[in-house]
Amino acid sequence: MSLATETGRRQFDWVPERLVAGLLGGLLVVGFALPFVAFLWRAGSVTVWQTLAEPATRTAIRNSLLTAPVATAIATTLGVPLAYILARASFVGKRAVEALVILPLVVPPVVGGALLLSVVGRFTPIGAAAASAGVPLTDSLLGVILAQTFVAAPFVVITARAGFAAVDERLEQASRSLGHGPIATFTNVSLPLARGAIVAGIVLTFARATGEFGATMMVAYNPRTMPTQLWVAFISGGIDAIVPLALALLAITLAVLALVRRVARVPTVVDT
Amino acid sequence: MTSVERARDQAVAGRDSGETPALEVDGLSHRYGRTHALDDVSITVAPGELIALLGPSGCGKTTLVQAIAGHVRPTAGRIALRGTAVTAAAPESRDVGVVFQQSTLYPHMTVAENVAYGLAAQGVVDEQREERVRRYLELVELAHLRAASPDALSGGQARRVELARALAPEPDVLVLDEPLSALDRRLRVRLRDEIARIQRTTGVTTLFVTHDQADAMAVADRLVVLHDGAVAATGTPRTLYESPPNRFTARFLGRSNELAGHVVDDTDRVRVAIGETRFVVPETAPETDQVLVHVRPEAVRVVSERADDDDGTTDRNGGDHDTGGGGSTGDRDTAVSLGGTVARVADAGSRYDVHVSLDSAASVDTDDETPQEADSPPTVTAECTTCGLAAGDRVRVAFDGHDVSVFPLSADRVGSGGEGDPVR
Repeated sequence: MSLATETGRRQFDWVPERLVAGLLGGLLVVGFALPFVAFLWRAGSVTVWQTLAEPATRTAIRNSLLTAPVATAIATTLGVPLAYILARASFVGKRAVEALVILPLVVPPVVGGALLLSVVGRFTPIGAAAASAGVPLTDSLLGVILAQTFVAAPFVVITARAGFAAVDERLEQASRSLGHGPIATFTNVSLPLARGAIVAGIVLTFARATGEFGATMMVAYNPRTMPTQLWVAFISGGIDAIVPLALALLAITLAVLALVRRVARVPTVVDT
Repeated sequence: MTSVERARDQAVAGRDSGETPALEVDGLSHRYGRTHALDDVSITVAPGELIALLGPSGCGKTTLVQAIAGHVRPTAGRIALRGTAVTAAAPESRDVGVVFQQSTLYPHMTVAENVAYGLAAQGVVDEQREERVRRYLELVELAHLRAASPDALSGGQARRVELARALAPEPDVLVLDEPLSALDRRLRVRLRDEIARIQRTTGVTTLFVTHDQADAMAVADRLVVLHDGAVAATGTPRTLYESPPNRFTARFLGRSNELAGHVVDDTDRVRVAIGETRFVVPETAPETDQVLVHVRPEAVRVVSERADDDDGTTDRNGGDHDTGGGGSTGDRDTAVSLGGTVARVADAGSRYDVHVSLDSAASVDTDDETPQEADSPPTVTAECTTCGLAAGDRVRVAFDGHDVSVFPLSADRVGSGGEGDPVR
């Protein structure tokens, strides 16, 4: 009986329309997999560890590991409350705020960097003031963090917002009626219940911040982060030269993803 | 609010009864944009009372609950708890326990943690908190599930835990917003009795919000019927069922036969005619000549015309040919008897519903709920236990003026014109 059902289902799976969908989707999957495999293939013929030990590479890795977590922390601290407001409140200009949040996602990162420069560039009032105070906002780790935050923060805002929206508002109302104020209700109820989505947003933000190149290049070409170092290596040495650093970048992102999944017990990061 | 205002409010609150009402809603109105959700609603609930707020969906019940709990700021009016105005107070600063229609147990806390949640906000110390959680879980008979996750509970258990959670902080008023709607029928009846028992045990002032008249009548000391955002009737379940003040209440609280009639004489006693049959209604005169005569199916007797030939002829003209002969006159005056043919007999288990097409009685232009074609004769439904009737039998339908309510027809039409409320 169960065998018959199974066979039936398998036949149903391969009716012509599904076959078409499968072929089209399959092409895309191949498109994802092929470059990845080909790239890893090259890794075999490159001296990975030796390159990673070079001072320039090590500095780039260190800079990335310094800046990306800070950018992620800033994006989370400011982004989660914004996500909550957007999920719960209705106010004049909410549409405009939502559009602004999405802006860094749709604007090319290089243009995003240019936008940032027009505020914090060396010859703008803010940039000049910061530079004379000894904390230059361009060509500094601070500049890197600015660029990373600008580009990556929307991920945590959008994902956390969806998470808060999925929490039934009556759970919050019940908390209020049980004597807890708005802030206690947020930390006791809304935050824990939206945790999965928030963690997913943090991971996406971190991954985006770590890999951020376009805006970073505009705002702070120096000091080098892993992506800018990748670019420098590519210019001088071609694809083979960037394999080690690319692998390191991939490894860091995957490690963070695995760690967060383990710690936060979020089943599928991207799905939530 | 100034102390003078507060003193005045307290004076107003305490004027009618000796004690301060646990909950007082006074002239509450609320608009969403241009839609009136609540229109001048006033309700007073005495301490320890269980009031059912009854009305069809969309009548404003939820808005009222939200206003009492503090999640909606009403457009106008005043809400007071134990004599203190709380109209503008935050939800957490008024002692209102709320149980919503859908479960709001926190999935990331155990059953005991859920019940303790409201106590934490009150600053109840650990030992007392433990004791209180145990006591309220015992009250709802779920002490053995204290360590369980809410996800592991059945629908009825979840409801009871929520009840315990809402009661544990010992609120001034407990608001149950459609607490039974999400449950199946058998569980609903059991939990409804459970709620009544818990309410008696704790003595907590309770507002039980429901669209189900059976639930409301079974548990409540008093009913408040809400219709289109306004209070349609207030009173004990029995009073409202037997002498509803208006057509909406009559139809919402149970099955209703409606016949068109007109007032023939209201100088001495109100005398009403349905077709040619006239009878006395021991009620105050309605405002209009055209009236709606309402009578419950259980107050209607159906007698086979062959078996009841003599009585039938005597009653044919009812009180109209009253000869004023002694003590029996009063009964005769109020007796109504109408001829008809059995259209259908429906077996309802414990009884039969006999639907009788009347020979001559003015049809009522009712709404869609009672599908009655304009030209077809009006029908009356009667309940009987053993009547042995079948479709096509000639019968007489009898009831008494004492069991009848008379509503002004035109005025009621204006009042309920264009309403979209489902009326059972």
